[in-house]
Amino acid sequence: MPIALVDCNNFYVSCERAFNPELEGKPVVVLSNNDGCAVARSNEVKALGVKMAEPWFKMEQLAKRHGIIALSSNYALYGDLSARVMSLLSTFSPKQEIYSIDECFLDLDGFDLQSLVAYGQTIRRTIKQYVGIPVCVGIAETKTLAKLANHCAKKRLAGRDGVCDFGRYSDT
Amino acid sequence: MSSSLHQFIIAAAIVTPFAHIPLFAHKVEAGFPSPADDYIEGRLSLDEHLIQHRDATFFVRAKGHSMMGAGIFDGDLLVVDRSLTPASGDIVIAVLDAELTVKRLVWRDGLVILKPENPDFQEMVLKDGQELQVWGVVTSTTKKFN
Repeated sequence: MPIALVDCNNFYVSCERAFNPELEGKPVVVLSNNDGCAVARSNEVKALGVKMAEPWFKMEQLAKRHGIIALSSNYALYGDLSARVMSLLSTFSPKQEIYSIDECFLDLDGFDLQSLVAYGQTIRRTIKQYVGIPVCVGIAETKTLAKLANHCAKKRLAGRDGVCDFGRYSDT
Repeated sequence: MSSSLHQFIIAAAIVTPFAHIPLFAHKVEAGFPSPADDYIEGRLSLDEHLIQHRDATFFVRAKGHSMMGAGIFDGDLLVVDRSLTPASGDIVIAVLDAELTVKRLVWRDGLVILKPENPDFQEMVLKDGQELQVWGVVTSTTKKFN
């Protein structure tokens, strides 16, 4: 009984990029309330070694050196885009469990096992086109493994093009 | 800290439960009410009228005069549907060189063209290597007078 975990990539940053294409490909961080610390980092910023929840005052110099664009958070926007993503994802399975602002489980019980990866690709394409948010999809027999599969898909450790189905791999 | 509001003041279309406004069958008059009042002809919801795909629909504030010929004026609120596949002739929000712009999308003789609707503006023909991304299709424009 396969389960999918759909997770948005760098969610707050992706929300900002959806409305400002100039931010694509650039190092971007979103700061918490009162611009306290980094609560979302683009892949470019992660590559510079900035950790999650890094206080802004600690990374300010690094930001100047590398042209990191820091944005104040806009939770009204993130909440709205999250609602859209979750609403769209609910159309892909009769059973959805929203896990956080940017993650949800979808029950794929009864779905054709041969085409789960293609299904995952359809999910990715739809969310990217309709809302502008990139997501990855991990598929496995349990929620924990689905989360791991999603991680593999995101970090390109396994799977292809943002979708990883552990059911495609043998036990050995 | 830089504001996260883009110059277009793009707002997500927040679809709240809408109020049904009854469309009455006759004009409002003083005096004895018509028995027909109970037989309301139809209910008009602007949300239903303007929004087909709620999760993929956004409002975008139009800026500038390049689309006046299409009835889009500076300050108008455009209803943009990202779920639609753009066709030649559609008015779209396009991403051109990392900037958002409203133009009519045309393909002609194998070329992709972004056409303004104002003789004071030039059409843009996409060159080899130039990337065009359609952000969404404009399905309607709204203008408030008051």
